[in-house]
Amino acid sequence: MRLVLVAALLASGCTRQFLRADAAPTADFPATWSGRVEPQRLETPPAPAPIREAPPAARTSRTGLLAVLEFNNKLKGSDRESLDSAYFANQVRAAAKRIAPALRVMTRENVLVLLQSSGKALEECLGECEVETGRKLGADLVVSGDVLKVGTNYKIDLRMHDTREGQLMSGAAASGHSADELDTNLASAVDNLLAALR
Amino acid sequence: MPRFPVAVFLLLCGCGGTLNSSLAKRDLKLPAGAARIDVAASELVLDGEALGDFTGPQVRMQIADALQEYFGAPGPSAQPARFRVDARSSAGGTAWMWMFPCLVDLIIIGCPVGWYSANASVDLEVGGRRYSGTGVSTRLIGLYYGHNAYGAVGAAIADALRSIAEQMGPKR
Repeated sequence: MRLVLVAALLASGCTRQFLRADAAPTADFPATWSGRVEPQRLETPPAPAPIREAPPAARTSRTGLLAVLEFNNKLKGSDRESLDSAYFANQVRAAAKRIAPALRVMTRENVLVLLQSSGKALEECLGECEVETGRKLGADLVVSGDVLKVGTNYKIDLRMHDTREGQLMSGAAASGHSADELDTNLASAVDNLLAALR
Repeated sequence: MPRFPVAVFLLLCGCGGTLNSSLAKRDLKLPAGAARIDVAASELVLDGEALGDFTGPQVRMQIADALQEYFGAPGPSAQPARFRVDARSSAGGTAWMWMFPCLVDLIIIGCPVGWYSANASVDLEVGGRRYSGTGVSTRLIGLYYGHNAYGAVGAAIADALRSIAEQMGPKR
């Protein structure tokens, strides 16, 4: 009986498996180990509204690595379909880079890889978990947010945490009656969010 | 079950090697705070037996976490870093292990009945400089321990990292 048990144990361990995790081009490493190069791409919005440029005086020289997590889309039904939270997260990344050019902004691909490999959805991460995710990414700052509707207005509620201190640095919200209006107002909200860095 | 075998059984249950434990037990002298591991830019190829229910990205994440632990929290001058791990594992055993008396009489306390061996090739790029190392390792299989090859794989990776650490210089 014992020998049968041991044989079963050995046999179960002898299945050959192949695990692979391929590298993707990132901001820090535009070419993969195999030399594959892909341009950094942001999701193309259906009808991109121009993002208002932050005035030069408002720019900050703060350095470090900023990670913008995927936003938690709390909308339901047709509202949820009409607002692409991934697009807005990309717009926040782009706006942050314009307002704080010295900041290194982590790409969406990098952030998603981490979330997938940790087996978590962002919806499961609240408060300290966002900070923890930022730390795992090696980010100095992490921006998270919710897409929701309050009354008749769509809102994107943004929060920025310092991953070293684990504390909330600032918060801001963009608001609009429509997706277009929300899109237009997003840049000024990011400007307010990053004001804490000045 | 007599008292002694139960105690040994409990002890051995805690001795099964995992990727994390095999990597974490090593005291590598990597430059403190010098690197920030870019997970997405890193690559993993793992081929062999008894690799469990993990996925490639999960194992890559565990290795990235362990490497970041070795480097410590990224300092102000931390450079982006990435790694490539190519590892192979295999299981083995010989007839004499089945004939050994302890396997007949004392197998209940976890006599070894085989082994997993692994070899790993690791490339590490930090701040534009590339380092390479290779490592090999073997871990025993028993009735109550060593049920997958990650202990051997982790130890082989740690072995490779040790030679990389020597190339990188002393810990600051």
